[in-house]
Order: sequence, then C-alpha cells, then structure tokens
Amino acid sequence: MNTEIRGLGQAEAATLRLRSLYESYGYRRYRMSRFEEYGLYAANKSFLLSENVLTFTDLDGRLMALKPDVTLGIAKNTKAGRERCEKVYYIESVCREDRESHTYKEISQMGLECMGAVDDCVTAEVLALAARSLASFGTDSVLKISNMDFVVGMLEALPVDAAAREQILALIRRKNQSDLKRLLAGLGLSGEDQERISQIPSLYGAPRGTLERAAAIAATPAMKAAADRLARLCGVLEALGYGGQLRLDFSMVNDIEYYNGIIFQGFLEGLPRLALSGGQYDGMMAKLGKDADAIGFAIYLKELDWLPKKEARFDVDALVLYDPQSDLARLCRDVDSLRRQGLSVRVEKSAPPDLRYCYLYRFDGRLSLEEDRGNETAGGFAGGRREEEIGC
Amino acid sequence: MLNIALPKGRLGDQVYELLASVGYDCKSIYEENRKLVFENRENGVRYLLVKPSDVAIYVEHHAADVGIVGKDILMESRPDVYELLDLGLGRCRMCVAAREDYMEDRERPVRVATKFTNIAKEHYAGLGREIDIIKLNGSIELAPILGLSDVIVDIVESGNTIRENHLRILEEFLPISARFIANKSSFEFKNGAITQMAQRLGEAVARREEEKKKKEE
Repeated sequence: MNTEIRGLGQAEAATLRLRSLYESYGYRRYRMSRFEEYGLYAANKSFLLSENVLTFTDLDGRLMALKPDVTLGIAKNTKAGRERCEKVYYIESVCREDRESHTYKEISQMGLECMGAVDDCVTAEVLALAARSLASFGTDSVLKISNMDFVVGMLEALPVDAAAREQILALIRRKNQSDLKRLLAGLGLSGEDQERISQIPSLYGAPRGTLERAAAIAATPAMKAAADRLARLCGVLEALGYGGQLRLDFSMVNDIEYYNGIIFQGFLEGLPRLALSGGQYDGMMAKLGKDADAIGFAIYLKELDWLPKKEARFDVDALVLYDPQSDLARLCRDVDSLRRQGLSVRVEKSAPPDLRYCYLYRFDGRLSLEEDRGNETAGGFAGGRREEEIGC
Repeated sequence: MLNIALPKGRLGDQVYELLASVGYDCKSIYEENRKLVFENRENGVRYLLVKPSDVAIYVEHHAADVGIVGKDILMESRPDVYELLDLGLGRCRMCVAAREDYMEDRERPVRVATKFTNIAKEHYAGLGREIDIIKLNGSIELAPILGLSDVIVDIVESGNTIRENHLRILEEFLPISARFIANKSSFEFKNGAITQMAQRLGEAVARREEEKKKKEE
C-alpha cells in the first residue's frame, strides 16, 4: 500500500493509492460538475462546513454555486433505493471559505459514499476502508468512532427544550465538562441525569473500557442498542486488525438534523487537524426525498501537506554534462541506462546555477563520474539507490 | 514532551504556579532573560510564552499541544479546540456599560464600541436588537464619554475603571475565567499526558475552591 512515486506530493500519492483501494472494494468513480444550483446548498446550509458559498448568475438566469461540498450533490442525484445500493468514490475540487485568510480557497477532497440499504455489513466495510485509508499513510493514525444515537437517545429522554439540548450538545462537542455541569444544574434535571450527561465528554478511549463505562450509564433501550451496535462494529474492526488505531469518543455528535448512528473521524500523527471525517447521514437523504440510507467519508487532501516528509536535498539525482561534438546516440543510451537504474537524470551542456544534484557526470564519448555530493546517498534523493548498487 | 502555550503576564504567572504545584515546574522560567521557550525534560514539559490572545491560535494550529486562555478569547475567536477544564483563575465578567446618564433610544440601532465584536453581535442578536459596531483595540471606556458610542461591551474585573470614568454597568452577561484547552490531534496522540495534566489541575482547582469556601465560612 505504501506506494512511493517520485515527484508526487503527499496528496497526489494518496489519491493514487486510495483510488486503487476503493476500486478493489468495487466502488466506482463519481464525477460531478464544478457548478451546482445554489438552491441545493441554500436549503442545506447547516450540512456545510461554512455557510458562505461562492455564487454567480448563469447565462440562463439561474443562481449557481461553485460546489462547496460533494456529498450533497451525489445524494441529490443518486438513484439508490432500499433495493439498490450505490457505492462511489470521488476526487473533486471544492470551493470553501478559508477561516484564516477570510477568502475563498479551492481545495481537493477525496471520499466515498455508500447509499442504499445501509446495514452493519456496509457500515463495517466503510469503517474498515476509513481505517485502511489512514493506515496507508505509514504514520500513526487514530480512527475515532461514536454512535450518535447514544447521546441523542439520552437527550431525548430528558425534559428539556430544543434550545437547551443544542447548548448541551455544543458543550459536549467541546469536551467542556465544567460549563456543562453548570448548565445542567440550572436546567432543573435530576442529580442522576446530571451525573450521567456530565460523563459524556470523558467517555473516550479504547473500545472495551469505554463501552463498559457507556453501558453503565445507558438508561434507555435506545442507548443500550446504540452501545451494542458500536460493540459489534468494533468487534469486526478488531478482527480485521484495526483494533490498535481504534478509539471510541461519545462526545462526537454531528448535526442531528442530517446525521445519525455511526460517525467517525480520522487523525494522522503530525497533522494539526483531522484528516478524515465521516458518518451516516440518513437524515439528509430523507430531507432530499430519497428512500435510502447513506454513509460515507471525506479525506481532506489539503491537510496532508502538513505530514512530515523527508527533505529532498537534490532536484535531480544526476546531472550529465555533455560535449555537443560527442556521439549523441551513445550519450542517450548511457543516460537511459542511468535512468533504468532508478536515477533521475538531467542532461545539460553546462550546469544550471540553481540546480541541486547528487552526482555529476561528464560525457565526452564515455560517461564518467566527476562529483558525488551524496554522503548519505539514500537520504539524498527520494527513491534513489546507493552508488555501489547503481554500479556507476 | 507536552508543549504548553502559556499567556504572558499576570494570568500566565498564576497558571504557571498552579502547574508547578502539580508537578510541571520548570525552574528556568524564573530566569531574567528574553527567552520565550523553557523546557524541563524530566517532567516532559516545554512552556511557550505567547501573547494571551495568541494562545488559542498556537493550540489550534498544533504549535502547542495544550494552552491556557481566557473564556473571552475562546468566545470571540471560536478556535476548534477542546476546552478541558475551567481553572477558575482570572475571574471577571463580560458587561455592557454606558454613561451614568444614558437613556436608550429605541428608534435607532445601539452603537456599541468593543474589542469583542463577535461576542457583542451574538449577545445583541439574542436580544433581537439591531446594533452598529465600532471596533476598538483599547481604552474602550473613552467611547461613550466622547460620544463615539452609546454603550461598550467589555471585560470588567473590579469595576474601578468603569466607575472612575463615570460609567455604569447595564448588564453582565458572560462570566469569564481561564480555560485549559487542547489541540484535537494532540488529544489523540498524547492522550495519556494531556488527561493526566487535566486531572491533576482539576484536583488542584477543587482543593483551592474547597479552601476558599472554608475561609469564607
């Protein structure tokens, strides 16, 4: 899985690797237009990461948007139903507000969606694909899972209004136990309920222990069923060998209008923010009038640029300087033999002043090594080989 | 090694004392110099001294794993971080204040001078009252005196500055205190160290509150 292709950035390499992974599970590439009618996003603003959408009026007078999201577009167009499942992956550019610079940015996003009858088998497959996607980066990763039905089931059983519920959820999401306890005390809930809810932000950790703690506070059948489902899915992922990177975090709760059931996030060591985010969004399918469930995830390719990488010390492995009077056919043949041995080779009459190279060759009828700047050759160029291995 | 973004100034000093009291001391921090990074390898901490308003930025962008920041800054900039603990230090409140003789004109929007534009907008939106915002960076109390604004939205600790400038508090709407925050990615990969630090701090805060209560009794 750890394909290293010379010259590719992390995001490009990931795109190639993950395409082949998703194809191997029978997912088909989905391509969509750069523009969508703005109405789709206006009606589902809380599904988007930001409410700001770049719009323009098309020549036929329709208000269009540069798509800020891919899932909504796929869901709108899907023919999936209870009897027909659709499994797709995408690599698309989306146009979003950048919170730091307060400007619009075009970013690459990759992801997959499974729409139709989503049962535990489909969910386990999507979770396994998320885990495999993260593991493919060759760095430590964490796949964090929750079943939203647990917390939603808990809140629905409480005598509080929608506004208070939203306040509780906001504090749970931030793991803000201090303010949550204060809020609960002011809502007139029973001591038992207060105690139970205030434990949610810290209901985090490896599956077994966390599920035991969750079971201890599961007061309703809905909560028990949610914890059981999570336990079943964790069992599958552990059997597949992903137990080590698995965490449960019941404080993860997405927008309850769109999402339900299993939701998850992926982290890669070294990245400041999450690298992958996904979940079940049956609520959104219902809002779009589709008789189908859905689950999927997105990988934030832009974030991958933050992954620590080996600094390339050289632009090319070898620079070959040639005499224009010499035998050009032999020159080309000798240079090709270097390339066949895995080196990147640039051929010039004189050395370009800003070019960093490891080996300098001169060709005056035959190729001779004139300079070797790679004291730690293997680290000097990505994918390169030691001089003795190359045999030059 | 945990990177801790510590706010420079009085709050930072109080927070450091608290952290040092629960096993995260770093003696070199007392040295008189212009260094901004202090490290104690033995207890696995590295302190980064930063401007208070930048603490959350360091943490959100992963330059620091954890940090200590005022609730006012968290409410204003809404960084994507976990807010793990209320340290109960640097207590004050967000207030609306105006000249002592101020009478609200309900026919027009309220002119609000503040450093905290998002907090002010959210507060007045909750009241259904239209406002004009005047963003200032300091000496906010001057604005109503000079007729620049009708009211100010600002942090009040003792209330002395308000009184000395012949202003009065119309409303207190947000209690402020220092919060222990964590980067979301660090929370996953350094969970043991972060949870332990939060737990020790939580116990120290509870002990302090207990002692305070006893004294009051």
